[in-house]
Amino acid sequence: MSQFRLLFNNAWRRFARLDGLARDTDPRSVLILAAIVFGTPGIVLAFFLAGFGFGMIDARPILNELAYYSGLLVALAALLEWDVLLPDRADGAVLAPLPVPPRRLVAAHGAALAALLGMLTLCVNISSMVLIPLLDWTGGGILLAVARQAAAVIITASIAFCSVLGLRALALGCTGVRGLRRIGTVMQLAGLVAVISALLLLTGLSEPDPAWKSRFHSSPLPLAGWAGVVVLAAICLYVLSAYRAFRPETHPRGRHRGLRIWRLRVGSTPKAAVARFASITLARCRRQRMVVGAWFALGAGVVLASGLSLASHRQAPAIAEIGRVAISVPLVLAFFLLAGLRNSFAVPVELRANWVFRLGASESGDLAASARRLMGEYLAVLLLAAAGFTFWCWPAHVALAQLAFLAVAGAAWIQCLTWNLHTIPFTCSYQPGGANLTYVWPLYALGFGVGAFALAGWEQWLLEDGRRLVIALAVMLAALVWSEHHRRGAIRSDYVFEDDPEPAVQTLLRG
Amino acid sequence: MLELRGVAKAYGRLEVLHETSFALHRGEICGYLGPNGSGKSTTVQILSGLLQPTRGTVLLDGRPIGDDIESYKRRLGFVPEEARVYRHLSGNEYLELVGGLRGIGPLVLRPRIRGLLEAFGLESDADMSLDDYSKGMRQKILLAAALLHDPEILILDEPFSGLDVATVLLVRQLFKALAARGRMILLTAHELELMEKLCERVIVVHRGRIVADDLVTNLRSLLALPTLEAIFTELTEQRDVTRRAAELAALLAGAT
Repeated sequence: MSQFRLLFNNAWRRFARLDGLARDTDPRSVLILAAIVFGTPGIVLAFFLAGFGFGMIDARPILNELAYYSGLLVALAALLEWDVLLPDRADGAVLAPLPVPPRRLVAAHGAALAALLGMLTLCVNISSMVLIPLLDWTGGGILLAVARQAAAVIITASIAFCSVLGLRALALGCTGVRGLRRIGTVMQLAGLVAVISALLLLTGLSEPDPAWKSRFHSSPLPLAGWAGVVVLAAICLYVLSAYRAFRPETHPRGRHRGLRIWRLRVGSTPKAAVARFASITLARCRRQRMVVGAWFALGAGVVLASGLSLASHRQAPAIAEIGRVAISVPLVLAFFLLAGLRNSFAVPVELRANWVFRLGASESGDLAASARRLMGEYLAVLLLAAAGFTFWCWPAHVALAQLAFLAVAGAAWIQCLTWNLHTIPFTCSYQPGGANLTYVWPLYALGFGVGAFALAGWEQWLLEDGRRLVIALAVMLAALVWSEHHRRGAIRSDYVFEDDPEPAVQTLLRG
Repeated sequence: MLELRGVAKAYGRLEVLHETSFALHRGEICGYLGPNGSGKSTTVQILSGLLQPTRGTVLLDGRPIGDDIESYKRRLGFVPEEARVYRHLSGNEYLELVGGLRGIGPLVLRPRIRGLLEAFGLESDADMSLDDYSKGMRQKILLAAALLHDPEILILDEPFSGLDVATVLLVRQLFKALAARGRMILLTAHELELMEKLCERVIVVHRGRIVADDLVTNLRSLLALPTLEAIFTELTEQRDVTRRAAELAALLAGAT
């Protein structure tokens, strides 16, 4: 096997270890799972289209949504897998003594990444590709119609990837390697939101026939040329920045400085120790932060989409509708933030280090309380941020009522999400929703969005009459107290831990 | 007294540890020796309560540890074979986590952490991420974490792995001092010379079975062999090492 092929396979195997998706499975199974997870929305939409009857509805907005979704996925994958785009410290340790030219190493990594992103894009769009000839056949050849949609998808994915690349390049150029790592999460989150916004603006989800796509269908060359310029500019920017500050190692050696909020946590009980551990982990571990960031960005995308749909109305929208959308902003963001936090708790940070909890903490009652406390703290931060927005939009008494509603709804949401939590955050890959979560997560995401908007509508109705609001809040609080009482009665001392068996044992079990 | 009585461990149909019985007494430092894959780490994990045996029981002062596993864990200090730590924490934070999980109050915990870090020469690196620690530094943190609550029983799986000479000497003397205070210490290691100096008694395990369990002096006279290394080689059938090394050298010469 050629050296390039070996390096490509090595990088591909590393990409395929998507811990958030599945653990302890072979790369092929993970890829199949990825195909199912990422391809589900495409299949759902394809069936949705088929249900309405081919040709009965205008399929183009839905195809645009698929292009947008695959672009978002590519951006997310680029962020998550960023550190393996270029050879890292492990590669250095293993490959440096071997006669491997660095150029070939980088090329193999790049090719593997392109293959991964291409596979994700294909997963999302494969079902729609099959239906395009039936849905969007405007008189040309079938193959041409498929090629047009394929080109549109590839361009969207390229723009998404290059947006991430360009943003990182800018940050790298401005701040250097250490600076980029220090502000890494913020930049990555901002980048993702920017990508979502850019894609939403470009694809114009609310429009049945967005201008850029019509232009592309009539004459693909200008858009392709424009996309090419973006790609080239982003790559040049990255290469220039990387040349200036090419990272010598994955993790810069250094002390943990800065404000350490977890220091403020007092007490030396097992519960306090676990809470401190959870705070530190979320603050420092990239993968866990990215899960939260991705969910939050998804919420931001939903908010932006609803805002854009209002802005794109040909007639001025009703005041009530604007109010409902404005009220929904903190609710949607809170819903997605809390769901993201709950999801991140199930991404283990270091399974092989969990023995320390098994030796020290299993007797100590409600250790999962640390998860609830952490979610509460993040909700409080969101409430503070939302306070500025609500006081700016509404009179003080309405704003206060809204914040109270948000706090109670958030607490109820935390209660629901952690009802059956019997694990210490970041120590176990157990997910709420059981083993089928991998397959049904799109429904969850859809449910959160719809639920948050429905809640906003209900809140608007409550705000019309103060008495209604007071009664509703009182009922919700009573339900919370009752549920907490029952939850405490069901606290178990046998926490679920995961541990990697010894390498020798793993070999035996496989045998 | 900590006792293993008829303990066996199997994975599926494959038994990696056969009926194993031995006892560890107060004030004793016991070496648990064996080649790679002989079942040392399995035994150690069963003793630490991290692994359930397929058969048999572990008893502490005549009572199965499973009867009150929490109380047993409180009295236990453990160092795993590999330096498995949460690498995103600093050394200080990791020890605070372990201390907190063991319920040690801050007034006791902080000076103890400081003292241990100073003793192991890590005070200047205490706030550095464990990911940036060398293997030996991480091993020191694990040792510090195991000693933090002054445990009655110490189970140590290759505790000297990666340590510098000065720390090995320090730890050796520390173990002797702890044993003199009535602590029970069981440790595995591959450094036979070191084990000979540290342990009065050794247990040799080979292919999941105990092949010797006696004082080092008794084994020497019994087998008429001068060193623990020679005894180990004899008991674990590591014969013809010189011949095999010569064959390997010839093979490598052929490869070039």
